[in-house]
Amino acid sequence: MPLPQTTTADTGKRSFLRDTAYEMLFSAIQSGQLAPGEVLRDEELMDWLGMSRTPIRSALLRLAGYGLVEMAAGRQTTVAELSPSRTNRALSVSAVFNEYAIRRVVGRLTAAQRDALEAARLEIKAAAAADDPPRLARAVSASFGVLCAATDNRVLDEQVARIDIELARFLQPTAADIDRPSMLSAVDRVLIAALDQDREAAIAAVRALYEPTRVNFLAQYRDPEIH
Amino acid sequence: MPVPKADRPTGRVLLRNVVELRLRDAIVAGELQPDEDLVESEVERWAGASRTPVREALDRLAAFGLVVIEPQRGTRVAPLDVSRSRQAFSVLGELVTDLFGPVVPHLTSTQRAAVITCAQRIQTPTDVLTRGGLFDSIIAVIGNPRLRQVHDELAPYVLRTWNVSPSTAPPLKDLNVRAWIDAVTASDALAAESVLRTWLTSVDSHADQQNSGSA
Repeated sequence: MPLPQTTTADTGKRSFLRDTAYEMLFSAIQSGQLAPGEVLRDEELMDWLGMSRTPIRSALLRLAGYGLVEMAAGRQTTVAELSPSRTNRALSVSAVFNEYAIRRVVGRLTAAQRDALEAARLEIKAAAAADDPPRLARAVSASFGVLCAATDNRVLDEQVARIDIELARFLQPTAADIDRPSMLSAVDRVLIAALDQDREAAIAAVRALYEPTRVNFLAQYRDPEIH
Repeated sequence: MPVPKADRPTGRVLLRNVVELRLRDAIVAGELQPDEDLVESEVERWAGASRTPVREALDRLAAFGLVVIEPQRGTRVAPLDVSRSRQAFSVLGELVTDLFGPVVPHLTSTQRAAVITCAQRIQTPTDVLTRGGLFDSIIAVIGNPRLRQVHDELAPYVLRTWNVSPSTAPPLKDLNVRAWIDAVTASDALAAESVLRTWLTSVDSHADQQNSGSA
């Protein structure tokens, strides 16, 4: 397990060690320093992060909750593989979160919310023009974030934040074989309909955006517990 | 610090899950009451487990909102939060409604029978959400493990609120079980979706009225 060389765990007075461990492991996974499939050994992580096992285990459990790390009984702990099935399934769920928000807020967005949405839309265009995929991923998720925040549903916010972390990793340029221009124009149709306060059009547009996800799920990625 | 290595991670991972499920069931059933202190040494004795699996289980339950861990004040069962529970049920309902629709035309006869049996058994709101209940069986036939994960995080939180405070459970009068069963039997995805959506919309507006009434 070749570990990233930066070893300065900045343990601020107020932050828990487990939060520091989480932040360092998280950014190492996001940046690819810790590669998909790589084995994570407690002892090596203890050396690298300069802390005991307990905060490291806590951080690993949290990362496992986000699907970034695999911890199964009787197996080694590893960085989760990037797989099309996981991406598709997470996208299916993310689609519903977005539709949930659209159903409840489009038609009654405040002027401030529409301004925020318009700003997010411009940022998507800027990120696309700059050909900066991580920035683009952040911008797309921020635009749906405006709609989700407008629902005033804390549970939705938490779930969206978590699944966006997973999807940002899945949708890295190396992992993605998506048709970016057509995806972006589908996103734009959702945002325009939302800005127009046209609820039915926005619902139809978000369903169209995720239609490939739906089709692929049914054809390839469905894994029923009852047959 | 000399650490015994052999086999420990394996046993610990399993034990953590066992402790988590036992604690979760006790909180959901209301045996461990809102705001009740969870003294780690007592939990260790109760669950027959050592400190690390107990800590890890408590961390996970805290992430799901069932337990509150505060550095100076210790660990306790989370207080009831009816508004958060409604929000969780609202999100879960949308997931089940939206993701079941596309699957309806693809159901095997076994899958169709499984969800219909659960629908026929509905007597109380709990029957919609409990293990082996309607939502659980719908999610089992949809077959999306990421959806299962969200369900397993949200359903216990909501069930616990309904168990401890039954008046917060949503009324069933706007859930047309008969129409839903007919829709699933006829492989009519739109009709199945529409029955559930009608119910969820009425639950949401019922909650809004209660909120504005108490404000």
